[in-house]
Amino acid sequence: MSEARAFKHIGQRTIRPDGFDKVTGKANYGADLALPGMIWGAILRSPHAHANIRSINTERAEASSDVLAIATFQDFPSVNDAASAAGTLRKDLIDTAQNILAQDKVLYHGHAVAAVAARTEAAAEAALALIDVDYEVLSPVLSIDAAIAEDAPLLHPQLKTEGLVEPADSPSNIAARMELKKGDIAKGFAEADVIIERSYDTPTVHQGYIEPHATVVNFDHNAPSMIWCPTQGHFDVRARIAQLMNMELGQLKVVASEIGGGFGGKTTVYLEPVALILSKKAGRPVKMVMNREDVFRASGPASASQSTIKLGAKMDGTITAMQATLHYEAGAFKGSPMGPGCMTVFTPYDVEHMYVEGFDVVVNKPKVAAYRAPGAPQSEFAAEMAVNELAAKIGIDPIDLRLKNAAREGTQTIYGPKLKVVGLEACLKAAQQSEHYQSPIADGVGRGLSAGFWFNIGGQSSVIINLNPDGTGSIIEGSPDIGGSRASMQMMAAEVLGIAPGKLNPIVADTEHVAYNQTTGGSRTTFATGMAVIEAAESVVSQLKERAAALWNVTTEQVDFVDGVALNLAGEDSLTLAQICAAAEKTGGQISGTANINARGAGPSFAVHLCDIKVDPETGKTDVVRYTAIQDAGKAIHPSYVEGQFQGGAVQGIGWALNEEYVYNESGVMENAGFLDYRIPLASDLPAIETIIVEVPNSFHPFGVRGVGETGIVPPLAAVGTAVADAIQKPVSSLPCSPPKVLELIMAES
Amino acid sequence: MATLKLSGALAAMAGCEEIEVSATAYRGLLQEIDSILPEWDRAKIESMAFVIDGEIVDEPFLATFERDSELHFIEKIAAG
Amino acid sequence: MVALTYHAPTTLDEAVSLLSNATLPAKVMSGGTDLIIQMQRMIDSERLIVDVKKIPELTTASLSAEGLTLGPALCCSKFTRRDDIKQRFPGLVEAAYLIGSTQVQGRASIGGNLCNASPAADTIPALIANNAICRIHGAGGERRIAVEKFVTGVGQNCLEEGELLASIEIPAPAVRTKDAYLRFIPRTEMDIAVAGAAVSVTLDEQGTCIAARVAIGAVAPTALLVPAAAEALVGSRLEDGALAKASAAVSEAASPITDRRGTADFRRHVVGVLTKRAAKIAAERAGEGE
Ligand SMILES: Cc1cc2nc3c(=O)[nH]c(=O)nc-3n(C[C@H](O)[C@H](O)[C@H](O)COP(=O)(O)OP(=O)(O)OC[C@H]3O[C@@H](n4cnc5c(N)ncnc54)[C@H](O)[C@@H]3O)c2cc1C
Repeated sequence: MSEARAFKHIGQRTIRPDGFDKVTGKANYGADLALPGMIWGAILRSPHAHANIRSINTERAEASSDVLAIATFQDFPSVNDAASAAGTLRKDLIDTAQNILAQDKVLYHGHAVAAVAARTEAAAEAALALIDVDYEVLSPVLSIDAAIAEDAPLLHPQLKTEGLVEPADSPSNIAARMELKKGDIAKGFAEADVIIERSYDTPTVHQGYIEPHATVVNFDHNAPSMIWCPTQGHFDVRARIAQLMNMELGQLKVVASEIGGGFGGKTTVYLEPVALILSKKAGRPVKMVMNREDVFRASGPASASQSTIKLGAKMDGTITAMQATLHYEAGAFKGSPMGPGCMTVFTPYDVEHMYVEGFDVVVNKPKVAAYRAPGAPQSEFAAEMAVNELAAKIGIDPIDLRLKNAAREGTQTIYGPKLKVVGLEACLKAAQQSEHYQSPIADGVGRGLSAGFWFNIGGQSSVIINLNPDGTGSIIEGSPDIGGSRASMQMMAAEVLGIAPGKLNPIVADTEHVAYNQTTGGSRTTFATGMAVIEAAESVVSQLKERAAALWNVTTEQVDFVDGVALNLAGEDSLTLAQICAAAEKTGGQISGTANINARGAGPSFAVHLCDIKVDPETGKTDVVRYTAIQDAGKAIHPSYVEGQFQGGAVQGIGWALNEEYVYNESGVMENAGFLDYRIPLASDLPAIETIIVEVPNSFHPFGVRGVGETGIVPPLAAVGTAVADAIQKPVSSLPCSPPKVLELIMAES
Repeated sequence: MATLKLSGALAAMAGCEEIEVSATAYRGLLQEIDSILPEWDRAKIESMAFVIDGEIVDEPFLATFERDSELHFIEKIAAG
Repeated sequence: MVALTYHAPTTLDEAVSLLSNATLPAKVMSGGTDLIIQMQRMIDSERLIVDVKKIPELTTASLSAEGLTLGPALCCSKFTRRDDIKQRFPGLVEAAYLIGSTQVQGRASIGGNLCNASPAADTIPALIANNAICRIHGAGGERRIAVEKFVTGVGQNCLEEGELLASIEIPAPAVRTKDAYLRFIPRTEMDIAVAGAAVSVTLDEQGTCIAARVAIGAVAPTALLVPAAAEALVGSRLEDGALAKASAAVSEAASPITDRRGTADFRRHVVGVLTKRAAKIAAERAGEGE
């Protein structure tokens, strides 16, 4: 595609169609729905981080007139049947079920054990005391070191490490090992003049979406049962529940409410299946809402990690070898993003010899969930910190070092494929030329930078565009809008149809009103659902041409369609889109276009972030004084929302690097399960995040789009870590850089 | 001949890091490997994404490629 | 869940009689920003709430030659807008200005902050540094007690059943006396002090410190008056040596804990840093004169 292509709507900063309802409070989120006859569900949560359940006695609850229904693990029909069946999918399903309602073990403090439904929220909460659970308390395993120790208590006595060279014969808390290789790592280090080896760690952090999980479920014997919830993927909610409850997809209808943030954390189910069980038993709609404490204690955080990085380089700055050992906490059940962590760790570099080994480790903490570019911030933090140290050691500018070794078109990645056209070099050059990088560094301030990479994905999307007889219309899509995507869909359709974006109403339909859509995640929506919107709009355009041809009694080849107007090439006539729609009745009925695609060719997005931090030398307090996020968007459909994604990613990454962390006591109880003491950055904490949008088009997308939602959270960790290290002139290896830790570094003997 | 590149556990199982294949479509490729490596875990491979000359294809069932293509299997990327 | 009986008397006597004749467990409510949150965790099934915000003398502040008489229920946003008070007690006003956020300050009061007796309460060290006295009203009459003695433990004060805090009185400071309060939080707002320090200093005409009071917060079960730190300042011109001594004195007096908000070592160190910085600010202000 040509870079010079002129767009009419794409690249404009239109007003988002969902904005008015959101700022006026009209938008309906997860907890906003109430149905006639609705009752409330509440969850009994484990007071222990690790314990066997000897028994769950619901007799007293059953006897209570307040209690309308009770749910426990035993209410998952298919999972019980499947418990003996083999196959990974089945095993994953059992893990999911056991996470939603514990079976015979509780694996983290706050783990759901049982649920009740009652007429009011308070009555449901009160009735929890009527369930008697007999626990055999076990010692909790709260860190990677504790989990992999020789005599560590085992979370899952059956769990054996997958991916070992010799198959494991004894159980372990290491669920999986992964190894990736490129070239000959020993040779790479032998060629090096300089070798550095460092270890790093990052804490457990939460996505921090402002809206807690909530759902309203109405079980129905004669019609599809309705599940209303804030989710990034209502089709996947439907699939999960169908599997867990042994139902057909057609027996379920999932409605995605407006969503108050997800960041990957709303790609799974917690309350929804429980509410369905309760609704089925009580014969009433059931509402369940988590409070903030529940969200922290029992919804998916991002993995804590430990990484060791070893780098070799020549004095001219050629990196000869890159090696990593990465450990990720999975939480209570296997399945950390260790895989993508291994795959991304060195992707910004075109280096001949690489070796990466990763481990997925279970611990007594909530099961992790996806969080923007899952796995990448942890591993790339370690790699980028080490690369910055390498640059300092060789005495070369960190951007020059990266440019010398930058991944580019044709670079062989460690996970297999060669990269297509990518924008890392463009981002590095933009960073180097930026006013920020050129500006002098003030006294007491440190500067850090980091590159970052994320794959982005494509996948299945389905879209219907319906036109009305007056030329307005609707875009019916199925990708929950977590970042302004409805505006982008409007703009892409408007671009193809040649009408104003506001003429088209974008609707995120429920699972019954549009065909399957993959979850909003992997930065796929603007890319893949956007592609479906374009394809559906193109189908509309060809129909418009046919209809115009019919009206003029010419062949379709004799009709052109430019900027919303059909032109009769055989004469002088022209018809606007609205005129063709008005006459549609005469030419065969109304016009709509559909597209059902499985999008290929997602374009990776690289980023480079710059960070200036001032550190109070007497207290270790950090103050971000300037921050710039530079990222390749391929093509920014709506620049404000692209910038918003860069800024949001930067801010979440800065929080991860500076003050966010789960603080556990020895018994495995999280001590800061609230936003008072789980310290995400406040608006007043940070300067305006400056942005530079780089556009290196993705040739697989009609408009050149790459996803932008995730990469932005990758670079901040090392940009911040390096800035702090630079300010205090001491190496930083452990996040968060909270004041007590920074002060300790400052006071430590050099 | 297209080249199938193997890494990690796959390479370990196959005992080599690349295999030349005469197939020009994903389905043919699987059949071909069935005959070269009868002990490979086909179900596992079918759950993976397929990469044709750097382009990641999540659902490769109908995918075709060139005689000189470079091919990989990679884990599907789930994401936030 | 608590069933509430709510009264909003308009006189102090009415409030005292409601409290002393109460048959239910009773609580005085000022802005409610601590109380309402605490009520969610209360186990009593019934409670009497006596809201004191409708009592005029409890929500006014008057500054005179004798000093400041502060209605304990006056909300912080009104208090911090009083330039006359800020002129006299800039540190105390700063402390009130740090509480929560704009929204919280629209309700939160200094009396509530004091009676709630959190170790990390921001205004308590500033009150102590300013020699503040609590005037307590009960069925048996009135009594007065210094703020540093009013607070007796974590969440504990010396009020007897049926008593309430009627006013906070701060004697007029000597000439060339000013205060300052600093707290440490890792962010910029909406956080609880990890350590806090309030300092009041009086200078002579030459700029020598002739009197001082130093109080620290969030580093012990209650805010502490630290005479040794004040002694380190008196007689000095707030040179580095004197500041270092004051700093060491507060670190010594502190008995902090390690919790989710910070480690004991960190708090002990930082309270020293804050004291030094607050002393400098207070001295600069005192030097600038009225
Ligand atoms: C979001 C948020 C942020 C906060 N941030 C801070 C902060 O930064 N710093 C800080 O120090 N605090 C903070 N707080 C705590 C709280 O706002 C303050 O302690 C506030 O000053 C309490 O005042 P109030 O008028 O709301 O007290 P209330 O809640 O009304 O009362 C508090 C206690 O004092 C008792 N009481 C009140 N008045 C009297 C009286 N006249 N006589 C006897 N007893 C009385 C009550 O019975 C109750 O036990 C925060 C609170 C919230 C919700």
